[in-house]
Amino acid sequence: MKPWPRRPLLTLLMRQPVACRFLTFLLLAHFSLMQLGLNGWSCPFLLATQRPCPGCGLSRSVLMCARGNLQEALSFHAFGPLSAISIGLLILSAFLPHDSRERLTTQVERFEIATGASHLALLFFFLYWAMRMVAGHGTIPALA
Amino acid sequence: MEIVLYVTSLGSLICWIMTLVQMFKRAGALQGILGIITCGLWAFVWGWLNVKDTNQKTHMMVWTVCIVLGMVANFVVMGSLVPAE
Repeated sequence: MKPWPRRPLLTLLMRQPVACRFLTFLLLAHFSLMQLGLNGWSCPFLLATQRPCPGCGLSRSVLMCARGNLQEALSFHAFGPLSAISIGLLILSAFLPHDSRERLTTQVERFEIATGASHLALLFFFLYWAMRMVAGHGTIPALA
Repeated sequence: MEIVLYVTSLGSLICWIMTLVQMFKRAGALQGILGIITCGLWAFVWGWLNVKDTNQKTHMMVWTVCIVLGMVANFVVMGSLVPAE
C-alpha cells in the first residue's frame, strides 16, 4: 500500500465510472434546479447546524466558473475553479470509452503522485474552512 | 411545513453520519473525507453503490426520502415567502 501522501485522490474516483455517472446525474439535477432559482441538494451539516461544512458554497462557485465569472466564483468558494476542473475530469471519465478513460486516469494519477497536489489541496481546503469560520462567514445560511 | 424541514434535516444528518462511518471503515479515510467535503453528495453516491455490502438499504431509503421531502418543503417555504401580486 502506498504511503498516504502518495495515494492519488482524484484518480480514486475516476476509476469508478458507475459512481462518476451517478454523481454526474446528481450534479446535473442539482445545477439545473439552481439555475431555476430553486434549492437543489442541501448540505445536511448546514441544515442541521446552520454552519457551513468545508464544501458549502462550492456548487455556486462551480456554476459561476461555468459562466466564466471567476471573480464571483472565488467570492463563493476559493476552491471553486479547482473543483470545476475536478468535476470536468469526473464527467469525462464517466462517459469516455474504457481505453481513453484509462489513458486519462493514468496521466492524472502520475501528476497526483508526482506533485501530491490532491493532498495539498485537501489540506488547504480545511485550512480555508477554518479561516472562513474564524472570519465570521460561518453563519451564512445562503452558502448551501 | 417548517417542522417537516427540521425533521428531514435531522434525518439527513443522521443518515449522512451513518454512511460516513461505513465509508471510513470500508473505503478508507480518503473517501470518508470526500464524503464530508462534498456536502454529503459523494457519501450519498457511495452509500447507494455499496448498499448491498453495507446492508444499509433502509437507511439509504430514509435518507433519499428525507432529501426529496426536504426539497419539496423548501419549495413550499420559498413559495410562501414570495409576496402575492
